[in-house]
Amino acid sequence: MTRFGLLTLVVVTMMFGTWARAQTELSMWYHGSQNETERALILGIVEDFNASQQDWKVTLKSFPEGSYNDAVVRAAQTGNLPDIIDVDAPVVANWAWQGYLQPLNIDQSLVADFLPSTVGRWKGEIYSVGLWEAAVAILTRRSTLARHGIRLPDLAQPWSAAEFEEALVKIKAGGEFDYPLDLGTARAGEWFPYALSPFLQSFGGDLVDRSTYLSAKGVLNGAEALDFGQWWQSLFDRGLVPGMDAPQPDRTMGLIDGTYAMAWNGNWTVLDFIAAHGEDALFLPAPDFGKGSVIGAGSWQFGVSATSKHVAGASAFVAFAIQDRYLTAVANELGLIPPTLSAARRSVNYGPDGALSGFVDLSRKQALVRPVSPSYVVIAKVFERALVEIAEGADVKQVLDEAVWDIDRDILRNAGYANE
Amino acid sequence: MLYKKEFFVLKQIPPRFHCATRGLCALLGLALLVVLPTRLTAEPLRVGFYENPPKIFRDAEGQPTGFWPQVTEAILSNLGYEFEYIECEWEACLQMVRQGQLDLMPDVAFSEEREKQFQYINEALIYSWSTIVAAEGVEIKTLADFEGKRIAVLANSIQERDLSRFLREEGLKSKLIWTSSVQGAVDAVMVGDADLAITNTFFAVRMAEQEGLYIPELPFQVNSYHFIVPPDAPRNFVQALNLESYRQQMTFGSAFHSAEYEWISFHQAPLPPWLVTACLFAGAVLFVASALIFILRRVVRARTADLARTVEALSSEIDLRKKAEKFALETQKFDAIGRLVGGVAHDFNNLLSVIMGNLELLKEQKELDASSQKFADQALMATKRGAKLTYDLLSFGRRAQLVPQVLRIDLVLRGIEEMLRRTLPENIALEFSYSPHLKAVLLDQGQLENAVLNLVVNARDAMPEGGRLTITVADHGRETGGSASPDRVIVTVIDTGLGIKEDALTKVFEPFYTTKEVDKGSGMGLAMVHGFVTQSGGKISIRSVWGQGTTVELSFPVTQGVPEQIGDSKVSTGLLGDERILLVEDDEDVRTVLSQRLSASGFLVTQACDGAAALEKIKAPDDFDLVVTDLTMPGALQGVELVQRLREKTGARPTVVLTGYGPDALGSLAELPNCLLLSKPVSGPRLISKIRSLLDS
Repeated sequence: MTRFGLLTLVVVTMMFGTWARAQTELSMWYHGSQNETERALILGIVEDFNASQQDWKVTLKSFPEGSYNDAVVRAAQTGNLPDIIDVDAPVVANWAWQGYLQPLNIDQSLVADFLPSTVGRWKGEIYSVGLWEAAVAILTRRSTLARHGIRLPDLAQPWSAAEFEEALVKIKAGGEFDYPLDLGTARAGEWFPYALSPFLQSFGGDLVDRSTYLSAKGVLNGAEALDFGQWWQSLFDRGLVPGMDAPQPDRTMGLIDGTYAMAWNGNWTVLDFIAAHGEDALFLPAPDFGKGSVIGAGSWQFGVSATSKHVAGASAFVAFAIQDRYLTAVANELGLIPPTLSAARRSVNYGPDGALSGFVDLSRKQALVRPVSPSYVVIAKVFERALVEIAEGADVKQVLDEAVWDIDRDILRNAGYANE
Repeated sequence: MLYKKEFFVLKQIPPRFHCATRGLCALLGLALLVVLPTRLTAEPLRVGFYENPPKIFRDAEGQPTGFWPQVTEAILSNLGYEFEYIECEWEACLQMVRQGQLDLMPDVAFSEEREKQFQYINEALIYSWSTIVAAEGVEIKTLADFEGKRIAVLANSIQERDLSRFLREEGLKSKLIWTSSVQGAVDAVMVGDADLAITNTFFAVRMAEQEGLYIPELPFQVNSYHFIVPPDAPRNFVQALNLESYRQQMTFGSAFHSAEYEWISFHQAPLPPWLVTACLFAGAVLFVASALIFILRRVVRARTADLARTVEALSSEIDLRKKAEKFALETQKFDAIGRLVGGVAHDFNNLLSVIMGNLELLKEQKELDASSQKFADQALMATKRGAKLTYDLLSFGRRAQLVPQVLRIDLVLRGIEEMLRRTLPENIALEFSYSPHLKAVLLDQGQLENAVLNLVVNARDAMPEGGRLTITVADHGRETGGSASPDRVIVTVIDTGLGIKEDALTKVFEPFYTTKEVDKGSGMGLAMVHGFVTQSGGKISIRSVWGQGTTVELSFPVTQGVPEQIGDSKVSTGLLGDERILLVEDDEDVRTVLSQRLSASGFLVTQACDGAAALEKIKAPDDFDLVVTDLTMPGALQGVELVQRLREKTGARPTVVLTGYGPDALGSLAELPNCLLLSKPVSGPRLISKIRSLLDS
């Protein structure tokens, strides 16, 4: 080969190589980037994905100041959504209904083993998939239960309503703790439907009639719901839980230092609790108020924006990110529950010998996804207000009837969300 | 109670430095910019960058764009700083500023908490607020009116967060109606589930207008967005940014205003469909209307032009008609006057003929003493002056008896130059100018001389203080350099006298019109000239400028004939005869005088009182050697027909036709051989001379 021919070959090879390496950029917003550990973890996944193939390059971008949801709404209205959006699981239906999201282009088999709450579905389509699950349990100390003669419940035999009531009363009467129970009512917002509505559902009520998603009547203001309301109000009336206006700067610390005997809190706090009390630390299944034990389920998930021109690339990233190794890494780094059993088994905390392995069963057996409806964002707010008002002493029936009216009116104003 | 204005103040950053006036601030700023070469560091400034479209984001090519990058570029460039963007996430950005890892961070909303952590650039570059949309009948004058209201708001939105905080802080009791979409908030108001809604300003106006709701003039939750710098950033750096930010906002057409218009203004909000439809419809209507107007204007312009042309043509036609009418009126007037004076002159001539004849006969009486002889001469002179006057009248009426002959005007005028000079005083210079090789014309020589004399006399009278009189004769065309053969000969009489006023110019050709003093002129001069020129087939024009002089121009058609010998036209009075003459005259006095005059010269005269009587007296063609007849007489046989009948019976004997009207029959009689026309009154010697010439020829 002549020198000229060799030079030509090199140039052509370089040009081809350059072209071959050209990647289409995908923008991505992630809501949890304030957490350095979480941010590093997600960045690692992104870098792995970018390096794993030649077609796509995901660029993680921080979201605007203020509410993440508000930023997404504004971006959607102005046509500036990124390709990949981080979305809260119960909001998926709303964003899909509003046209912010488009269905993922992934094989359904990829999420077959995922916890239901970690897959965002709407109208039979998969819109999003999450890398973790968050579960709630009763955190307390073995020694406390023992001192007050309270039975240690398990998944097979959680506390009944009466047992739970008795335990609270006993602890209250003991006077050792400021409050027998911390329900985290100082946390406004999503905590109420996520963490507290499971009590309603355990009573036999619900946020909305899930058979039709057209009304809350009968489920939110029926007899079971009224019983729930009365019980809820009594917790505050009797001083079993902190009042709504009581400051709670650090709930976990309150549990650790003995301010509260029990805490209704998430799995992400358990490791700190265990670290403080070791073997004495317990996380227990939710009580059964009549219709079984129920805990909330939730995750943040990755979806593809409706305006993305690269649904294939965005879907490829989601499919890449939900590999078990990343699910396990998230569990190990952030303490969150892996969506799949296989990932859980490989994780440090949720594996067979992990300190949090019990949460895997809790999620799989007690978790109930929040209503899958575009109206959920309204339902959640209405429910929160109802609980606050009831806790403050309002008439339970009146409050729940008004809540039903508010939810039904919203559904009616939106024609049942059926046309979308 | 919290009012709108108070709320603005509540959310705005308090001023960090104070100036007497903003203008003074600007001046100080400029001074500061001049004396501010110092930079924080030699390295480029580190500016935080995060995504928040459309305020700050990367475009498709990955370049920073949006409101803040444009303004940042302008401000830092104007201050002379180089800078680079440091990618970070929002919270991380703030932390980096806090720790001095970023020198500047845009798009930070003011809050009292943050003010403790950062230095704010005072000038807010963006303000944002939420908009209140209320149902008709819901009065919202202050935010305190939220009390007891049902307020719709998008669930989990910044509006909900701000509203909840506001209600909590102000202790107001309102019921929130959460909605699942932005539109849902307005829908809630529409259906009566909410009294008002608080929603994104960007969409509120459009939706409110679409739904027929109203927006109270009350912004909610005003936020100001600023640059921030680290808490320990140099004071002069902060002030430079303050002043440049201020300058950007105060300067028309600055990068700030461009960016604001491009990225922040509501003009980018999509128009509602009905407005788009309305605009399209209006545009279409406007287009069609414009097209119609354009076409109509073209049509109107064309019609207007046609109309203008028509009006112009009509105006020209009217002018032409007026001129024609004026000319016809003038013509009729002159004809009427001509007929009047002609008729008068005819009768007057007959009288003068009688007087003149009798006076001539009286003078021939030998027993007449010297005194009587003198009296007869004076009477005869007056009679001749009367005859001259009647002749002028006939000339004006174009009824003068002309004897046209082919002549050259220059030769005629050369013959009377001396006579004309004697007519003028010494202070008037008379100049003649004749073009060479002038064409011949067909004119009555005597009348031509008379006409020129009249014009010279008029010029003389117009120059009492003296002046210059110029008479030129030129061929028309040759004098102007034209190549065509001249068809007219122009006689121009130019004086430098007083001139004639414009209103008098139209009357100068009327008989007896004069501007001269009483007894200075008869007023028949220009009338006679006008009649003579017109009767000769020529044209006369007069131009005059008051105070500068007058120009009279006579134009005569060229004739192809050879000029006759120009000689003295004076008649011989010594001739006698014995031939037989038939005298036909209806006026007995005239007939008697003429008969006596002819008889006195030796002729044998036979009288006839009319045409019929004359024909009866002619038994054979040679009964008479010559016929003298009046032209106009009572009876059926007169005029041209009489002359022709007489010549038939006499075998075309020589005929002298006398007429008081002159030219009526000139056209047909002039062609007859041995036929001569003479105007009354005719002097005896002239009559005898003409008769003698005819008989001798």
